[in-house]
Amino acid sequence: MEILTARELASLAIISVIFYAFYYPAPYAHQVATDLSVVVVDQDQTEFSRRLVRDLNATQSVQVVGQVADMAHGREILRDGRAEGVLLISKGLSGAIWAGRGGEGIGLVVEGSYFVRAENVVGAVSAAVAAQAARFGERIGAANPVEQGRAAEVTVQPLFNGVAGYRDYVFPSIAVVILQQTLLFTAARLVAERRRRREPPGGISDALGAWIACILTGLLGQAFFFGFAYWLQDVPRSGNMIGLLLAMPIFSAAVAALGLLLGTLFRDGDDALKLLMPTSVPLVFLTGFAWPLNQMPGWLAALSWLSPATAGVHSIVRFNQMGASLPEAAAPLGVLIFLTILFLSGWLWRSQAASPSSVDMDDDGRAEPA
Amino acid sequence: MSFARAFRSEVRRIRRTPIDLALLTIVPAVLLGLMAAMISPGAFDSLRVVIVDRDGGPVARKMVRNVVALPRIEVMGVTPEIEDALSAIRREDAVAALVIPRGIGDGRPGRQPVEIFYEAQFLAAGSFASNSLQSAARDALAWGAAVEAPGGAEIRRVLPGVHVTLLGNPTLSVEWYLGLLLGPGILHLIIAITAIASVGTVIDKGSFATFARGTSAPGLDLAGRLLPHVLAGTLWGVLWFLWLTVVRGYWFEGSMLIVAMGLLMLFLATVGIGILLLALTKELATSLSGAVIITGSALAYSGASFPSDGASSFVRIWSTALPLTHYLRLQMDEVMGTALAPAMAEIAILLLYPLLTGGLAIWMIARSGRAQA
Repeated sequence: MEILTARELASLAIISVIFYAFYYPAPYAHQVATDLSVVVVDQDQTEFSRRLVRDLNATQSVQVVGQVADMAHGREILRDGRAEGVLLISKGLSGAIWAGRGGEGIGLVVEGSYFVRAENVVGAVSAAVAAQAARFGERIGAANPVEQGRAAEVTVQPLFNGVAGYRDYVFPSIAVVILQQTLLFTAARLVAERRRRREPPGGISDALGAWIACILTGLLGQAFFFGFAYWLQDVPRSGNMIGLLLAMPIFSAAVAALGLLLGTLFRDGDDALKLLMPTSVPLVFLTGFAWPLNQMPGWLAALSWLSPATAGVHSIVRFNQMGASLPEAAAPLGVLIFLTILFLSGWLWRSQAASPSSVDMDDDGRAEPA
Repeated sequence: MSFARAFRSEVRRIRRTPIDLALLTIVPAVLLGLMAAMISPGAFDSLRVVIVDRDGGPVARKMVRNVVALPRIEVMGVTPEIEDALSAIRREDAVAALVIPRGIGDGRPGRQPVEIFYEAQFLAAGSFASNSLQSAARDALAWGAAVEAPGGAEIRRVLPGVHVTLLGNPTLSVEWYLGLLLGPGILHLIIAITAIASVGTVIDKGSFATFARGTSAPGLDLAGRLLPHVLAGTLWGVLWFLWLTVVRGYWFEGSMLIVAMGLLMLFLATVGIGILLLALTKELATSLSGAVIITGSALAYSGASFPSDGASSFVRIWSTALPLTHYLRLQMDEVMGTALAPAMAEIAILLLYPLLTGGLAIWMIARSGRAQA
């Protein structure tokens, strides 16, 4: 009840969760990068080059915003920030193709520091060039490999995120971190504020009661995210419902126990928030959703598993988005169970050992950590 | 209290308050250190893939050889069963699977295509592996076509190559790309929190009245209190970029000095937003939650990790309203060495934040003193 009645706790545990469910995915909702601006330096001025520019402009990724006479002018536009890429079609390119000398007649200068933009522009240009070259190949009598059946086509199928969309990639993983952090802040603040108020510890049954209350709070948040918010935003889901329903309480139990345990290290709820909140951005990346865990140094990957969100992402996302079977997600689920036992033991021990009589106050009357 | 006295008093307060001291020293050191270690490999390596070979003929073998020879890709197994490959992907033991159909080299029309399945739930690694597998598969197919039909060699010859120049990140290093975003993003959040924690100490019973009545110049007093936080953020930002450039070997084509100026402006903006939140809520915990929402998700809204062109009007407006967006534009311009004018324009925009948000907050705080006098 304290979570529901204390304004700060309710805002962390309930309002933040509702808000984040729609606020965080919004910048990724359009899923794919569109209309990235490119200027063209067409030194070839042939049917081939004009068709290539038309094809490129027709793609979703790229918008040709103008043509300039030379590369120096193109680079100047790039330097001024008026375009994100410059495409150079060199003089004599189509002649070279007619003569069967493809070579490297197309230059593309893009901003490499914007990774996703660069990838999209390069992909769109390469696809447009390949399509044009295939048409030219047919016209000069070279066999089209697909039609002739001499070489099979290559098809690419993104798994679990059918459109290879950015929101469906980012949001399911970050949702787990959001759910961890909001519950962690709530649980830690709950305990730290009790310590600030010098409430006496209530024994094992009170400690278990607080833990179960936090688990239920976390479960409500997860149900809202994985049920309503995912459904409303049409995020891929329900791959393995039974697995998901199994992972949800275990994840919530691990996070709740960690939050309560961390709360015992502070003697003021605000201090708990101040120290825990900055961890949010690093913990997102330490789940391995962007930079895989097996690509990190071994010690760091091992450390990452201490955050329940890491095992949470690799079990909940596997069940919900990837449709993994129980054996296929057993390892991260096992880590979650281990973390639950570890943190719960710590919470039960600290809730017995912690005595508010030892509170130290600093000169400003602020509590210092134990 | 004068500006200088407020500055000195705040430094003393931070030194006496272990958590606030940790937030400006140990916490950024640990968090940035962890991120530096995470991205230190620089690029993906040994991404595991599975090959499902249903043919076993010369073209299939050439394709397998091509995949084995791919840099940054490791073949974890060759199997005839696609279910084994998909299960490996669901277990995250592999990030992609290449399926070579039966009869790939026999020249018959209408056969199954070569299929590449990749892990798109953890898109970055899966997409990289997929691109690598595509090049290996197409090369093997072209080799097969050249061997079995002269026309195939011709089509290969006419394909013009695309020479790509990547400004600012010529090797497409993930370390440089993420490093450019993570350092400022993490510090933006930390400084918002420390700024709120600092000014939060003057709140008395949910009001700034006591503080405002006790000072003749609340604006100068608050500015003096917040300056240590701005300087700490800027210093950590500069150290982060010195790590990436001097130690890790990346470089700004433009001016590092302009980036440092941008950092200073970013943290001025950050503390401005922080005290505005506090002036609006007059409550520390709610202000901290607001700071996490605004600054913690500012990277997502900045358009630097994923372009906001094509996003909803709300996203584009909110993205433009956030200071991190303008700082990152300035920073990326300096990474690529763009002209001075766009960078100066971003600095001018960044200057508006402390003036508008900070000014409004100071006015509200000063007014609370007058209202209850």
